[in-house]
Amino acid sequence: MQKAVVATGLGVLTPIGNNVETFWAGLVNGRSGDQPITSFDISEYRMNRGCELKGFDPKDYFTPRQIRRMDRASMLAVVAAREAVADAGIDLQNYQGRIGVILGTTLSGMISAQEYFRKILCDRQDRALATNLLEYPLYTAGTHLIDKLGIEAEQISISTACSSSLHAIGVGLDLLRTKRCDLVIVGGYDPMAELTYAGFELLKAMSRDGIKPFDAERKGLVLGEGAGILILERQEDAQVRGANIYAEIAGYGSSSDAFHMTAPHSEAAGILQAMKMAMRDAELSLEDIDYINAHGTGTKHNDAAETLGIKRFFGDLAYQIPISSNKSMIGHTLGAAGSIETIAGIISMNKGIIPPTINYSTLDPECDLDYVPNVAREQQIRAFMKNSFGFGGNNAILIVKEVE
Amino acid sequence: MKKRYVITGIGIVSPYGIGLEPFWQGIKGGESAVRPIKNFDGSGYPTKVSGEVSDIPYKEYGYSFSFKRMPRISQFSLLASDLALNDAGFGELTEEDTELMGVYLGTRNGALEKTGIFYEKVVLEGPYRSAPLLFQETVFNSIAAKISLKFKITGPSYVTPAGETGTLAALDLALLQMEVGRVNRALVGGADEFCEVLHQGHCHLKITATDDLSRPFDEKRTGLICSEGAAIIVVEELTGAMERGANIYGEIIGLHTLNDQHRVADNDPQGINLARCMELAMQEAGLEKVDCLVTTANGNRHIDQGELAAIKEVFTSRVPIANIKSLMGDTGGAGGGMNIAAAVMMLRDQTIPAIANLENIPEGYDFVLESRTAGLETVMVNAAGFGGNNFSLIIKKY
Repeated sequence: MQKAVVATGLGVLTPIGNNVETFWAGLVNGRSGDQPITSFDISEYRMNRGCELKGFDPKDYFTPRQIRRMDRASMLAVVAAREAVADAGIDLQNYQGRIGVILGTTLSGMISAQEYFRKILCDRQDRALATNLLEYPLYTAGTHLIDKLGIEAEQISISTACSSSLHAIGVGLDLLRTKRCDLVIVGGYDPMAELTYAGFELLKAMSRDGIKPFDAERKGLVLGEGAGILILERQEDAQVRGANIYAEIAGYGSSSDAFHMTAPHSEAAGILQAMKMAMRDAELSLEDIDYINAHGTGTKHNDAAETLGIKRFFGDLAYQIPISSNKSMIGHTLGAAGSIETIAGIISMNKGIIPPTINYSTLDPECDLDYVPNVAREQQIRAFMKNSFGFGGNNAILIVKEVE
Repeated sequence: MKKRYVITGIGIVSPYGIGLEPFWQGIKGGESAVRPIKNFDGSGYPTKVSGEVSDIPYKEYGYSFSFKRMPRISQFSLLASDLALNDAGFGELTEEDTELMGVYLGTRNGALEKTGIFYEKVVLEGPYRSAPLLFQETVFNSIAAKISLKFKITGPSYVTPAGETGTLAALDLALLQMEVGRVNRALVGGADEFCEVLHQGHCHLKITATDDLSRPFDEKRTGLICSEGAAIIVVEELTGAMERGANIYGEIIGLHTLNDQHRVADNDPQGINLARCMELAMQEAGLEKVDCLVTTANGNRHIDQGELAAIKEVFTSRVPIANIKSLMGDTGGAGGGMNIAAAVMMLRDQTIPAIANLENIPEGYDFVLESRTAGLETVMVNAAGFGGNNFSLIIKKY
């Protein structure tokens, strides 16, 4: 029997709340974070919607010197991590050298890279050029996190596009199971960056008409930004220190479609393979899953493929399991999505309330499951499944359950 | 590690050419792969040389013209994966093989050249004049996804963007997933491409060698020489490798990682946590010493100093020190893979290749200055990156 791994600290920055409490209040009330973009010049674009953080001021968290030397992405990761560490009530000094920092991201310091590019292209070189470059690499946020928390730790950065942070949680799980680490700080972060905005716009993946996951009228995703960080430890250790335990991270699955770079697998084979691995890992049966926190981006093909995968995996049971998409409210936070939404799922389980999929109005024959439309629902959850899928046919599945 | 892991295949695309043999013959023969920059006009930069990969005759390897249109990093990593799989005897993969195989690829900058072009168009011509297909290349995991797709590998697929330690981070993740039984075989490695945007950035950071010499450890070194390529290995559980009668290059018997606790974006010149990695890797391997050390030093002052300090801290007797970056420059995320490939070949040929360009020699170390035959049972491979990531790996002759 494997040692159980549990979550004991949570921290988020999201477009509808800059800490776990306000985030949750937004989720149950169906609040939308979708507003006009303010972080870069949007005037050349034919749309202007995005789910940015509201009222996030770096000065509330960092010194002016730190702000000069930190990319926004690193700030997001560090702020969410501080909340998670405080929430866990843990003294990190007791874990020095036995800590793992596992972060997923797709862009990381891309805003710094953009600044660098712009300066070079417009021939405006200044003293900050070197800082722009140093802040760009995808491991930098992890390095800042280690520095700002003052810990001795190993660091693994993972970049698998939109599934990045769900993989990070899974890797953290394995690090604790194998006893390589005694504590892991896991999750993901991504900022709103023009490069991605332009890219998704060119791919015609963005909706001008709201985020409507699983709805027949869904038109695409809306980009978001944020961070979600969890503190994980082995259950026995958490119990010894008398920690507040949120949930058990019971299983993780990972696969690749190996089918097409952008289109989902026509039979959802990769999704099935990852779900199988995760459920085997969790030692649960299909009947045990009371809720699915969907990837649910709001794009035509992804939502259909996810629904197909759920139906193929759960069979007739699929129609009885409530499914909801947090992205209907917070947008697609890319590398942060998996961990932010896992945190949402954990609180849903603890409170016995499923946040809705908002903006839902019209049934799509291809997406005919129970998506908890528009209104939160009270329901007991003993275990839930969290899905994240990424570019290139990348699939991650996490199973989370109540602590025994 | 409870299970035993072995290396059964190696694929290299390097400034020496395509394949493991040209790479190893070049290294063993002490031939430098550093040349004047060809990809773009390098004459205006403080550093005018690089170790570039020549145009790949893709048709010879069965690829169509679409290969040529891919980012160079993908050309390197796909071809190196192809070579590694074939070398390991996985020319034809069955469904059972592919489900339990993972792809783990480390990189520093991903498809940087295309990323630069995409953003340049957005900035200079407006967002709607840029190209959606280019945007796909900017997504960091596109390089691993292409490998999964090409070889129909349906197991996990990851990119570890750990800078110069990319390959070691990828290997670390692969071993973890094999240990818990998520996969039983792994395609592991690293890749990076050299392009003008990268070179410009490195020159702005003032980390490149202004005398055009790659001379790690030399007291008069001026910086690093940036090169490119891909190094991919096949790693599997020993039992599986034996069952299928695979050729075994070497066994992985220790790996440890720990970040520096120094300043962000600077390496610890005292190498405290690199030393701890080396000690803990030896502890895991049950060793008191190793027969040779393939170093990570790339000509950067703090990285070189940190590694030398760590060597002094860890080894009571003198350990022979090798460094292949002196010959081929720093291939970024591929560097760790190149070092692993060199270590494995050293074990095969019982030869330590010479360090090039080392004239102003720090005292108190056994730098291998002339290629040397030696009884080699174990080789340590270090990796340290600009993010302060440290890794130490031990490979044993099988």
